[in-house]
Amino acid sequence: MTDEHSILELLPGYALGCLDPEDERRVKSHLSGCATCRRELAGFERVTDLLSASVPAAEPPAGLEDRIAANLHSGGSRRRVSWSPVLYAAAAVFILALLAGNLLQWTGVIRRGPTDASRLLTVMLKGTNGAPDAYGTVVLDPADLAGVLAVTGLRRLDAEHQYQLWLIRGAERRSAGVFSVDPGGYGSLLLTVPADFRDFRAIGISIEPAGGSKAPTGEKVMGGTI
Amino acid sequence: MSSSDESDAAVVVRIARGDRDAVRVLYHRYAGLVFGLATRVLGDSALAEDVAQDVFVNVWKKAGTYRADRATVSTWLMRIARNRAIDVVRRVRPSERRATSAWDDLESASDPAPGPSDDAARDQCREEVRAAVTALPPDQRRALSLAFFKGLTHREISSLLGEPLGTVKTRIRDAMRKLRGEISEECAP
Repeated sequence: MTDEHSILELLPGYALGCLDPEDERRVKSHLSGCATCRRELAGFERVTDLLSASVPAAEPPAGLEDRIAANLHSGGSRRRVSWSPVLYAAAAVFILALLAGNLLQWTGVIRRGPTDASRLLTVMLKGTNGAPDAYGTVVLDPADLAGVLAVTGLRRLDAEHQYQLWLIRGAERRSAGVFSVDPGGYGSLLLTVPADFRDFRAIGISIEPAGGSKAPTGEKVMGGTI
Repeated sequence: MSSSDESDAAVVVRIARGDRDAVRVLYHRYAGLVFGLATRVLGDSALAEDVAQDVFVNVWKKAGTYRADRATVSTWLMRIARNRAIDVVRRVRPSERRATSAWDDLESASDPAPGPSDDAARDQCREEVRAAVTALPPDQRRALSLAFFKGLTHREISSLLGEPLGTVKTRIRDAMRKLRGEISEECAP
C-alpha cells in the first residue's frame, strides 16, 4: 500500500478528529505536500460539519443569554489577567491562605482560643493538566487536628460527581472529605485531620462519584506536597 | 438593516469591532444548535450550558480570527462547540464517553428550538443527513457515534468495543464514505 493510499484511508478519521496520535502525525505531515489528499479531506470535513449541523437544536436555559452578556461586560474572561501569570498565581494563593485561615477562626474549629498563625501548616495546591486553572490552599491546625481547604478554578461537576480530597502517604490514600464548587469554580471544605497526619507527605484532589469513594477512582485534578 | 437581514459574517465583523449587541444576534441565531450539540455530547444540561457560554465568550474573544473563506459562521461556531464539548467530556465525564445513544432518536427528532432560519433548503439538508446516518449499518453508526460525539480515538473505540483496531478504522472510514456519497452536493453545513 502506497503512502498516499494509506493516508487516504485515514482522512475520514482525521476529519472527525479520532485518529490515534501517530496516525494523526503521519496525515498532518503528508497533507502539506499533497493537494489530492487535501481535496479529499475537504470532502470529509464537510461531512463532519454536516453531522454537527444535523444534531437537533435544544432550547437553551433561561438566563444563559444574560450570563453570557455579563461575562462579556466583565472582560469576557473568568480571570482578567493583567499581571504576569506568576504574580497572579501568588496573589491568588495568598488570598486563599488568608481566607482559609479566617475560615478556621469563624467556624470555631479552633477551640483553644486565638490562633497562633505560626503553628498553622499551609499546603499549596496546583491544578494538573486536567485543571490547569485551579489553585488551592489547605491550612491545617495540628493542635486541633482540624483544617480547611479553599480552592478556585475548578470546573463545576454534574450532580453525579464531586471532588474528593486525599491525604497521601506512600501508596495509602486517606479521604479527607468531598466537596463541590460553585458556578464560579470556588469551593471549600472543613477537614478533620487524623492524628498521624504528619506522616502524610502529599495532598491530592480527584473527581469521584457523588459522596466519595473508598479509594481514588477518577482523574486527579490538583495536588500539593506537605 | 434589521438584524434578521444581516449576514452572519457581517455580525461577526461587528463582534470583532467590539459590538456586544452583535453577540446577542449570533446567540439568537445559533444558541439552540450549540446547546443541542453540547447536550448530545455531554449528556448533561448543566455542563452543556457551561460549554454554550464558553462558545459565545470564545466568539467574542476570537471574532477577529474568523475567516469567511475557510468556513461559514455556523460551521465555525459548531466546530468550536464540538471541540469544547469533547474537551469537557474527556475531562469531566469519562463514563459518558461510553454512551452511544446519541443518534438513536435522530429519525424522529424534531427541533424545539429551530435553527437560524426557516430556510426550507437547510431543513431539507438536515433531514437528508439524519436519514443517511439512520441508514448506516448499526456497527458503523455506533463507531461513528463514539468518534463524533465522544471524541474517542480509533484505539479507544477498539478497546471499548472489544473489536480489532483495523475493524474499527474500516467501519468509521466506510461510514464517512457512505455519508459523503449519500448526502447531495447541494447540502451545505
